[in-house]
Amino acid sequence: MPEYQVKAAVLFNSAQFVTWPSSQPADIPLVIGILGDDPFGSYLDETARGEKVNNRSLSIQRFRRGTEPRNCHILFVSRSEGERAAQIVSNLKGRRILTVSDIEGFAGLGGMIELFIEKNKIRMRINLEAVRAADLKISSKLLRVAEVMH
Amino acid sequence: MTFSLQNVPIKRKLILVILLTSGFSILLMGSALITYELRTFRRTLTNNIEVLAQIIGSNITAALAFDDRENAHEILRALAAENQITMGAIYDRTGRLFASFPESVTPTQLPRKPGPDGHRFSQSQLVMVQPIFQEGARLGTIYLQADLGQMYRRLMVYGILLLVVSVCSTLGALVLSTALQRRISVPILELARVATAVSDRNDYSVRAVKHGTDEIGYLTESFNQMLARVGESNAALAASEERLRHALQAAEAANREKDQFLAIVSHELRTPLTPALAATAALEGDEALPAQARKDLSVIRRNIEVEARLIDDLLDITRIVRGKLELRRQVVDVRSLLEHAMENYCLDAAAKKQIRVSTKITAGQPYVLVDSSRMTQVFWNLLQNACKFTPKGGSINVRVYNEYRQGHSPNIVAPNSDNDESCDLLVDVSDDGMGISPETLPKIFNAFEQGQRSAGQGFGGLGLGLAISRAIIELHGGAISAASDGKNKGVTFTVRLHCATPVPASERELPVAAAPDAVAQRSMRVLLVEDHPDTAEQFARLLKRAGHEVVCASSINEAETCASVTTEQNRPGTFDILISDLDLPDGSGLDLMRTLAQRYRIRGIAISGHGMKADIDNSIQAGFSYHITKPVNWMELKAVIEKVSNEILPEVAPAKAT
Repeated sequence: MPEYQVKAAVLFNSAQFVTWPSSQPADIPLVIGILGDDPFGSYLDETARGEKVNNRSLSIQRFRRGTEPRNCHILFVSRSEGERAAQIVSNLKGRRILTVSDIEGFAGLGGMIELFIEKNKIRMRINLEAVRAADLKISSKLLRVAEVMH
Repeated sequence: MTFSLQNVPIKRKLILVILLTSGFSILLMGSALITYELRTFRRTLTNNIEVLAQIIGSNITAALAFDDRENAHEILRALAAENQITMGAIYDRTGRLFASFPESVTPTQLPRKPGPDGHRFSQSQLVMVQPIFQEGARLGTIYLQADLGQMYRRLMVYGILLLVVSVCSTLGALVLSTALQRRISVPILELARVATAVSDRNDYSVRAVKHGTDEIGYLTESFNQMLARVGESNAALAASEERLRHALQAAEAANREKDQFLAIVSHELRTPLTPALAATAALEGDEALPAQARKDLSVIRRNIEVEARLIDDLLDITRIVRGKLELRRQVVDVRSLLEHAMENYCLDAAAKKQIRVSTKITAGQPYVLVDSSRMTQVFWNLLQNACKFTPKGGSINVRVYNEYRQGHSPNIVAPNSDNDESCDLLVDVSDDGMGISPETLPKIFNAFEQGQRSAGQGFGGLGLGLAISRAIIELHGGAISAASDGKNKGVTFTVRLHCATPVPASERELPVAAAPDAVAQRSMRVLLVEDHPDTAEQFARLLKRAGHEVVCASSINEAETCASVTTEQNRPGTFDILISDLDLPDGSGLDLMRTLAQRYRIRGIAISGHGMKADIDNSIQAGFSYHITKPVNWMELKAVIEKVSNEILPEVAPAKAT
């Protein structure tokens, strides 16, 4: 299975274990944003098509480099933005956006979920401090299958 | 069980009833408990396993979502804590096996697909299939299999417990019912004991002991009351039986006395008639008397005869009623009896009414074993009746014929055959008189019944003739019947008797009354002993008229004197015949006969009021040659005297009497 097909599934699935603050209206779609070059091709669209998370439909938005990602709940930072990852993360501080990336050391840079490969399997490393700072809640179940960074 | 339960003693019945009832209720309660327990256990188990599946499913969503089998296995391992769970498995959203528990289990032991959601019970396990959701999205399916062994173990414990309780309660019920049934069975057994005592000993004074005021107590009370009543009525019954027995004895005695009285009265009424009849007959024959007087004498004689006949009938009826009619049977030719009856009793009367009497005799075997005088009486009765009821100028037909019974015919049986049982002799007497209606026909043989023939028509008589005839014929083993075609068609009486084998003529005794008159009459010297003076006088006169010498005596003493005196004065052995009444004032005629027979060669004729066989035997033993029963018929006496004279005078073989 292609790597980004699996990563699309992981991205989609992780949305199910995260709770956003309830101030937002429940009927607006859950938006997954991709910042920088899109590595998924059509995989992410295919994965999300017709699916609902917590009764909310999904929509995919792609943001070009340098643009301000608005109105999105999950933001995947492409490897193409590797050098600016720290900057991006610090720009988003205070925003309630779950940041996910497969950039190496992303969690260490202040990102919330870093995807890495271990024993041919895609695993997650979670920066709980960053998650809490963004006022998001991650299910303990997710924490059980992920590696929590201290 | 029901068929034998009826014969089981009541105490066992009670115990059995109690045991069955308690056993049944325990069984019912136990079953209800076990059923409830089973249901509860299943529900609880289902709930538990369902909750477990939900917990596991909820925990395992991330592992499923992120394809983390290790994590899934780790979560499933928690099932080890629940020892009912034998197997567990997680299937992913496409239905493929994702993880399983325990680790020893191989995929082949698990179903390839989890199957529909829900729970299923099988014989030994519960299968629980639950979907796994995360935020509304189905991630897969959890499959759990639980062992029901625990449930069965628990049920077994319940069963054992139930068994123990049943046994204990049965034992308890047995002990209790054995103790308590006595309250019911003892009073009943007491009742049974009393009832047995009553029926065994007929003792109605015993009483059952009352044990309480329940139904059995009431029963006991009623039983005792009943005993008292039965005792009372029994005593009353016994008393009334005693009274009845006394009454019956009294009635029987009275009846005997009445019969006796009737017999004596008849006898006493009859006795004076004999001399009156004899005297009238003698006077009637006296040609010195005027014709008118002789005519009147004839009227007197006929009326005395009628009255004598009536009294004779009464005497016969009393003999029949007392069972004292005895027969002296001998083989005779029925034709001679009929002739005699017709000549003496019928032809004159018939001639007076211009009745034609015709006789037709076709019988090849005319011999019957009968009492001649009685049978003559029967024929006379029938002929007299025929004469009485046939109008002037009518006719009477007498027919004598044989009838052979089945299997015999006159062609096969020789006329003088010994085989008399096969042949009947029948005598028909038919008249062409007024006939008898069918309703009356069956009654005419009853005593004092003359049918309606006598009603207002002035036919005299007591209506005893046919009753006497029937009794005589039946004593002979024969039958008498009457047939009539109806009013004015006449009547036919039929007498049926068994034929008898005739004895050779030399041995045959001729019917007494039918003795031929042809034998030369000889003069006899007669000693007549009779204490009734009129009777003595009239017999003496008749005897003298018949040409005999007569000396009268009225007692034994006188008779003995007469016998000795005449011997001395006249020829030795002077009397040929002693005619003696047996009932004499100074003793019995039997003794007189013995004395005279010892001293002289003398024959005797006994005259007695008693005609039983024993009386006749006594007379013969005392030395009499003949025994004549009163009332004495002069013709009969005359015939007997002639027989005696025939036996004496030829001086051949004398006595045939012994």
